[in-house]
Amino acid sequence: MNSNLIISSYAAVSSGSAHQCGNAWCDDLNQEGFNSFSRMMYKKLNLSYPRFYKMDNLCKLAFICSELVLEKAGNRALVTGPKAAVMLSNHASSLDTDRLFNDTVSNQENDLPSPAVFVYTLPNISIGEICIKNKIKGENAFFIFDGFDVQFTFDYVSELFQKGRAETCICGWCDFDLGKEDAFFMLVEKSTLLNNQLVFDVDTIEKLYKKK
Amino acid sequence: MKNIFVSSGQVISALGFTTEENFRKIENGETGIKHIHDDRFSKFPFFAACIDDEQINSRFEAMDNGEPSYTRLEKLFILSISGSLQQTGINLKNADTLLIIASTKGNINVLEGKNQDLFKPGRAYLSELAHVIQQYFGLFHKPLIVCNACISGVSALIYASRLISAGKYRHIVVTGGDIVSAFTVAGFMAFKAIGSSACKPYDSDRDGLSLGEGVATLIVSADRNMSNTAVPVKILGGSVTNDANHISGPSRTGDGLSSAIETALTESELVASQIGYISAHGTATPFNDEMESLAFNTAGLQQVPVNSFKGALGHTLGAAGIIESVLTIESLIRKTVLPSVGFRNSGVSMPIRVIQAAQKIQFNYALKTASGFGGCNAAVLFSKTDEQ
Repeated sequence: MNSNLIISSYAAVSSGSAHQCGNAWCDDLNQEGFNSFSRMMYKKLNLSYPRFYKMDNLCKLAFICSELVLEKAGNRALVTGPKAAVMLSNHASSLDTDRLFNDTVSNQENDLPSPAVFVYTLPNISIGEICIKNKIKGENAFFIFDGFDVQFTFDYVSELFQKGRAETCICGWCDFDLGKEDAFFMLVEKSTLLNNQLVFDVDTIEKLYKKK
Repeated sequence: MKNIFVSSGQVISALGFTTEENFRKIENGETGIKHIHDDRFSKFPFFAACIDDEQINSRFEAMDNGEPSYTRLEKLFILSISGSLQQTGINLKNADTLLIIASTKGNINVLEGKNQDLFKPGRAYLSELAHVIQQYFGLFHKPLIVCNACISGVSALIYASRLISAGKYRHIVVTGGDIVSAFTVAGFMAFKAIGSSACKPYDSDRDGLSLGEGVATLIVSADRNMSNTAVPVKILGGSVTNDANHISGPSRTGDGLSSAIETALTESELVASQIGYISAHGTATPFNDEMESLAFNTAGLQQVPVNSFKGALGHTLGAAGIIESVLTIESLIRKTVLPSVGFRNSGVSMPIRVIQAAQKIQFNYALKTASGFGGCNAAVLFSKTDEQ
């Protein structure tokens, strides 16, 4: 198995709180909901990326989590190009936005169905947004599960590295449903032989995921 | 990769309920696309290739289903999977066998109108659809669900081959399906993506896609004997890439697609000149088809006979990669490539060899490509060998 893959960084965002590499990063003290929480996070990330405001909830969540892990990457400039990969998964697919769009389909007296909403009715658009921001062009995949599948994620990502398909990979769980965000992201890379690196293996992933 | 065998299962589309019927009709240049006036879908008419509900229901009832009730898409999946497994000896109840489901919108129509009385809104979750299928067949494992826009089918096939290669399963049944719904019609209309006639991939008069629906199933196996093909057909390799350019428009250069093709070729230890046929994506939108012509030229494939099945079947979204791969495998085995229905004159800037009438060609290697919203591209290579 791969003893040479590490989790360079990880992040978790759920229920109005964000953690980065195990440390509290941000809390939504006002609990006004994801809309204001995500805007607060965006500002705190100090990004100039107005595209963010067009994104739907799922994409904002994915985008924020990708920025959290990339912020703590050894060298974020390496997470780009044809050997950078992204693998995300969730339970609700894009249903949060689907329901919004569906309302405009059934009630056309109010808002007409909008292409700006329809484009987000696919969960892999979240991957597309991450790829655009970072010029990531490699393997990308979106899977649907009941809950975060640690073993599958480990097997899938390991295979990418083993077969030389990827040299870095952003992976994890990114769910937004019924007003609630639930995300856990990892940045997986090859070991650089430094001390105190988190080994990318099933036990470690499980520990990190449960801690959030 | 070690030997990964693949065989075609049952295609269900607007052109028919069997792979044979689909192949024959496309060979004859037929299309299942019609001008649909149906306010269950839209108050505006649109072009789509739809499956007759009575045919679905009568065939499904003949299977002695009993309770509980199934959605339209679930019936299609169950019909296709059942039909595909006959005479294969594959047992989905076994631990060494997995089902992969590819779909973009699943049971999205349960959110619509009178369907809300028939099915709970929770049925719209893809995992619910997968659960229903799992219960029906008594699957050992929960199905793996791939939801990756229009490349879902091709990427599902690629992941199946990688899982077999890694020894995780001995057999994987890969099924892809999507239906026409008020949701998708409204969406593509909002994009002004639906054309003013039955779609014409690569044609100078093309002006947009036609929607489609369907399900198809493939069997991927480490075991040559599980293949129902007269000669073994193998998956040699595949690649998925991202344009990193736009979430809904194709890249202006086609680099993401050509990169996927080149990586797939390298993994398969092939070069472009060995490819005998390309089953392309060809949605008949002005931008997609143009992008593909660029990508095929970049990859050195401009001389290879190419078609799109979407002029015959419409854009079947999550089903497309599987339906079209089944037809690709059939083309390999039957040594016959099918016409690109809807094409008359080239309307792309780079030269490509669009197939205008069915042709007998002996070839050993076929390329299947797909591209989708989110900037994703996928390419998979099939081979036919004569060894037993």
